[in-house]
Amino acid sequence: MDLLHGLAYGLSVSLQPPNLTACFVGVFVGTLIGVLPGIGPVATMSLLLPITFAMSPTASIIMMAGIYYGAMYGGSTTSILVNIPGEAASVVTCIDGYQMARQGRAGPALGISALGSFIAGTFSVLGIMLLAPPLTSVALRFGPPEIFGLLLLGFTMVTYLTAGSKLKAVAMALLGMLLGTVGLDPIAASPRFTYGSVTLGDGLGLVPIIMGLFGISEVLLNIGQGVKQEVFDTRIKGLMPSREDWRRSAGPIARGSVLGFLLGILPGIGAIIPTFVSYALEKRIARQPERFGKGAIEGVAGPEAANNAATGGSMIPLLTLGFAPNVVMAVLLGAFLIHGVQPGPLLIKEHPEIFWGVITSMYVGNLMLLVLNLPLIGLWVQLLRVPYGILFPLILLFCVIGVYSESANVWDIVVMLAFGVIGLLMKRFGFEAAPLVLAFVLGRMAEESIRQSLLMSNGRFSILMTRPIATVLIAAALIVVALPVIVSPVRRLLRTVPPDDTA
Amino acid sequence: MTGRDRGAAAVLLVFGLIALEEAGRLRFGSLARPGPGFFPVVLAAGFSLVCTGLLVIAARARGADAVSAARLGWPKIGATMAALFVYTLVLESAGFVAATFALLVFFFRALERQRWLVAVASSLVTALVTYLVFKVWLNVQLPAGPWGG
Amino acid sequence: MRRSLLVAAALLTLAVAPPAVVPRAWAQPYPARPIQFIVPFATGGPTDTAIRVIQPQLAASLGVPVVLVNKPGGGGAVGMDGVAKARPDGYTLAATVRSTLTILPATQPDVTYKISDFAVIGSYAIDSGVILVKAGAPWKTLEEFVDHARKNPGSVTYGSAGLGTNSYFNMELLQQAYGLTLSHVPFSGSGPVKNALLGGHVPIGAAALSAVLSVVRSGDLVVLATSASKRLPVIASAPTMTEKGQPDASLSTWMELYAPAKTPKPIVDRLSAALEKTMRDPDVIAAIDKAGLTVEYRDPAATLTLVERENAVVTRLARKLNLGR
Repeated sequence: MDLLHGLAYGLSVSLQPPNLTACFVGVFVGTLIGVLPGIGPVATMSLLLPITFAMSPTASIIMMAGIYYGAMYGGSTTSILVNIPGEAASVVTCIDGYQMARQGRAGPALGISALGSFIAGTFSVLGIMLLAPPLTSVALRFGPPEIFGLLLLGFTMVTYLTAGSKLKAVAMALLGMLLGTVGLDPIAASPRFTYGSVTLGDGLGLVPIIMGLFGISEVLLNIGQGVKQEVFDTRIKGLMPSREDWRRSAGPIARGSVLGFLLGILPGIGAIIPTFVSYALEKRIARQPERFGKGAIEGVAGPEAANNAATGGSMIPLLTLGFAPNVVMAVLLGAFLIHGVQPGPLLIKEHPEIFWGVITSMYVGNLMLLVLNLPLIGLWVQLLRVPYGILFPLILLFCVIGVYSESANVWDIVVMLAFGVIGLLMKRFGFEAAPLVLAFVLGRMAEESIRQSLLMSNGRFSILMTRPIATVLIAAALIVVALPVIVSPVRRLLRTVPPDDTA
Repeated sequence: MTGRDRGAAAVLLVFGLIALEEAGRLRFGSLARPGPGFFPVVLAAGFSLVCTGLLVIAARARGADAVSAARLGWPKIGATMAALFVYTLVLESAGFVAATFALLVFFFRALERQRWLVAVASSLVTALVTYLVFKVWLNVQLPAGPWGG
Repeated sequence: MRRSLLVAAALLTLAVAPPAVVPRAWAQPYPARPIQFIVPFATGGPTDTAIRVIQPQLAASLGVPVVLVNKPGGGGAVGMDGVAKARPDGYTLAATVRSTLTILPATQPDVTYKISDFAVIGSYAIDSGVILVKAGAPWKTLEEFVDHARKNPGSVTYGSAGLGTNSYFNMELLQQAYGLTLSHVPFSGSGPVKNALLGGHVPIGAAALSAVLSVVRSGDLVVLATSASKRLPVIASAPTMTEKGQPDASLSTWMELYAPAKTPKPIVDRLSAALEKTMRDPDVIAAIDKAGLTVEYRDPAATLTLVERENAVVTRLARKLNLGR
């Protein structure tokens, strides 16, 4: 079946009323749980799994996938409005999105993330259809050494995540990685820093840390400053992105889409790395990088496009290999299996209605999300007018629910509260949370991949230099680190003659 | 106010050194065959080094500090944290609805000075509605406590 | 503010004190209210999937709702520890995998519970362990691979789903059985092992069948041996380790139900009977089969024998490999 046939066939499947309904329910529930901080797509999808028993396999996969990308749309909403990322993939959105909201520009921020997500989603659906088989074989070449190279390159971009001191960002990244080592060693499975506690064996939870550092600390800061309504500039400056906003966002959205899609395919990368690589890239090439961190719309548009495109990209390994590149995909894989469908190389042949139907439904679903979300922006923006005295208990409550629902363990609430206080202190002393959180996630993966590489090569570092993809990535990382050291003295030398206006 | 920066860097440095000491107890392995202690030691050492750098920079700096130091109402922050902590302790034994109701009444009445009727009514409604939405409708795991089933 | 504080405290006290009017469970025949199953893993994994598949029919044969609570942590230890210490009234049970009672305590010094802290309700399904290579690998059979590995001690690597998983123990037991020395590359789960095999990053690997079934059926990966007790219909060409004369080197992922040790025998029997009835249901068998698992009901006594035998094998090996200290 060639592409056009596949597309037409897929559309005919996804437009059947039961499938269309499933798609709508999926994206609707997805948006809802994305907006409610803490309730992630993983928990919702697995809890709704039994409901799908009565549905056809196609309809249930369509619904499950809808919850996932729907949550990506909704997740940015809380990042922008209350500085609480719905999940790790929207941490970066907080940096500039929340600043925009405080300046009364929540509307354009929400608008650009919805439209940017739609564009990126469309792009990734096209990408899946055109490139799924060839990209799969490339993705397979990413073994531990290549993953390590990619992570190394990612780490070099951590300092771009801060508007303040770069050294402080490095300190926070190292602290994040250090916190990530709590728990069982990923290779030898021996306990580290657990002090005999079985609960600590799995390490500190990502969700409690994010909720604490972002959500709780923000609330504490605001109530500590005795702020009632003045957290936000209540003069709302437009609900939709202006022409100027679009001009600034077009490039970031395009680059974010490509970046997110390609990185999303890689095993284990998920939607997190693309967001901050996109942010770093936009800041690096921006004419006024100092605007970032103070409400630059590029810092919202790029990462939001990237995480949505990554959700599409991560469908590729699932559909073509039956390999779940991240936890959400693992749940989706479970949904396939429960319905007796084995995603993998045979899926297109054995179940063309599922393969093409699910892919085209993602396009239909993206359209639904746009229609669903744009009118909601006005409503969300009104939410900011709710007096803070009423808003803050609810924010705290949602944080608690979100953290508890994941593990049914009050320990995680304690961790969240502790990181709330730490986050408050970090804010007071000019340290930022984003590098810490991202390094926390990536540090474990970096340790695992380098140690796996060394085990593969019997302890020879040459494995990093004999595999072309790994070598290129590591070289690129070294160049990124070395570049400012080499370039800035040269530039300074050149600039001594004509004084430059760039700060 | 570079004293603040200096203090922060010093505290972090102490933390880094403690982490280094603790990580040193784990099996280090070798560069070619890193053990469980390898990464933590390298990270803790790097962290301590960067903190030393921060300390040096802060010690050298003179004059204005970049960190804004608006006064914070610490009693209110403390009360909020204490309430949340007590809430966490009783959440599983009391159940979600009861504990949440008490927490919200405290926030609305004690911290925000709403009228009693308003505080109690809105707390009750919020606790029940969130329970219905999350537990009953979305099937989220919440402790039912002695009342629920 | 002080007065409000006092009132809030009073409300809190009220909230904590359990109401006296709640009917006590012992007044009625068991089961009288919903039964809570602790799943010691996050949602989405095979253990969680298996219990969710049988949840409706199990609830029907018990006559009360079955509530699943995911309590992940410590590789399953947190949830299991909770059940071991739960009130033995038959309302807090564990839906787990056997390795949380065998491999986990043998390899993790922080895990303090023992098999004797639990009363067995029964086994209900298995996910077989498989040893596999990429299609087109130089070895078509386990013997050919063993030959190759004997000639190149220490230089052949293998991938497992991680230290402390069945796949790792199966490969270590294989090495013991044939006197091989392989280098271990642990991955985090069977999915990444599949990926590493397909990408050629490790030449041989061990994984759980449900995770690799799709690429085995498509012919991209070839199974050299399985841990099943007899040949599996989906991969009938793959021999079992038992056929090879190595019944001990064949750990499978057994899905099992447990109650706290002091649970009264009639309650355990009631649960065990309900489980047996559930696993006879053709719909359940079909659903389990679809999920890539195999129905294998075992009563409490038979399960306990298997658990203790596996525990002996695993503990001996863990001690030999110097794990868990």
